[in-house]
Amino acid sequence: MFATPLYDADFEKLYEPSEDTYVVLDTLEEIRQDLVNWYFPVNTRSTTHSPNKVPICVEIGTGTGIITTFIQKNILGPDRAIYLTTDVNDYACATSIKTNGLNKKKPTDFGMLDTIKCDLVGPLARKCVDLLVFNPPYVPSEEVPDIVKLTQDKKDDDDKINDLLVDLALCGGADGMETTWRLLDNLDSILSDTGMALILFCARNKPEQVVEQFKQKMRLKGVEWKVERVFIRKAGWEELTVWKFVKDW
Amino acid sequence: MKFLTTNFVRCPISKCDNSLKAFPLQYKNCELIQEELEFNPEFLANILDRLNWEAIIAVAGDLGNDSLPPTKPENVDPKDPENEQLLKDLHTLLIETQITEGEMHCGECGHIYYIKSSIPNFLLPPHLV
Repeated sequence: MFATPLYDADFEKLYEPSEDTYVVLDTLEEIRQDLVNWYFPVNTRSTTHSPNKVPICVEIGTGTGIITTFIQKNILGPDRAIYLTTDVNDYACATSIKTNGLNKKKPTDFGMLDTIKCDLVGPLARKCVDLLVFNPPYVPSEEVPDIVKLTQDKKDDDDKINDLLVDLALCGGADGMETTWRLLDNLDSILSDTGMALILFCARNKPEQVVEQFKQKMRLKGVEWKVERVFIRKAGWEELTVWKFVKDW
Repeated sequence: MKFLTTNFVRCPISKCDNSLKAFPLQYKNCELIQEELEFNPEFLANILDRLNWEAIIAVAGDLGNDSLPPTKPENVDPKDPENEQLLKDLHTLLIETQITEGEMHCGECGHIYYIKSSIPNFLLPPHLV
């Protein structure tokens, strides 16, 4: 079993790694060999797909950044992929870089990791993401906090902004799906043709229905998808699952 | 923000989606630092494939570096000593150069994004979302 990466952050300012985070880490560990085979096929002639030599791995809403550091260290390797983290929270962006440093043997150890403050994948060029990992705000809530408004409203004090940023990591609006749907609706233009997305759901998101709806919507755009559940864990009254999305050629 | 990352980001405003002027962004008033990292020639040779070389040249020019080869080096063997200087130069530029403060201008809509404490900020104001 791979160790959880070290981290050090102020959890009044960002989402602390929790059961859902560990579900993502355990998923990555469990499907590690599939991921390695997908991105670095040994014999490219015998496979039907030829992935980019150096995949771009993007984690949306990185928080502490332990998921990306885990992938870099234990799954794809520091010198075989480009790693980008995104978050709407400056402090999370900075923490994801710091976490990466905490888990290096020496500060100069090779690694290409960078961070971008943005919504979802923000400014990333179309179809450039080869591995997308998203542990979304999945908890059903009355509304999703308005990130744009809250970071621009100077009337609010820092404590209130921090509370809202932590809420934003959790609150997913109707069915807990509002943020995830904004991503899914554009997934075809985010992922490269050999790209893969790993997305976490809870039972209240009704993932089976979401997947069917997603496939139908994409079919209208002329894109077929292969979607499968790759991990399930019951945690108390909650059931968390991770689903793998790839384009079906 | 590492120099390499400039090759993957464009103006996220939807009306700039199809504009050739929204990529690469124009980098102005930038402060740079070098962060020392181990040299990895294989990684550099492998990423050449996916780089938009014209964009690399344009951003390097914005930052005052006009010494890059005008066309993208092809089929670079990382084990060939003749390529060592080229790959070392690319390492210094793409991997070790960080933009700590600065502005990114969209050539299409003119919107300015800021880099602060090495973090590029692409959150959009409400009227542009």
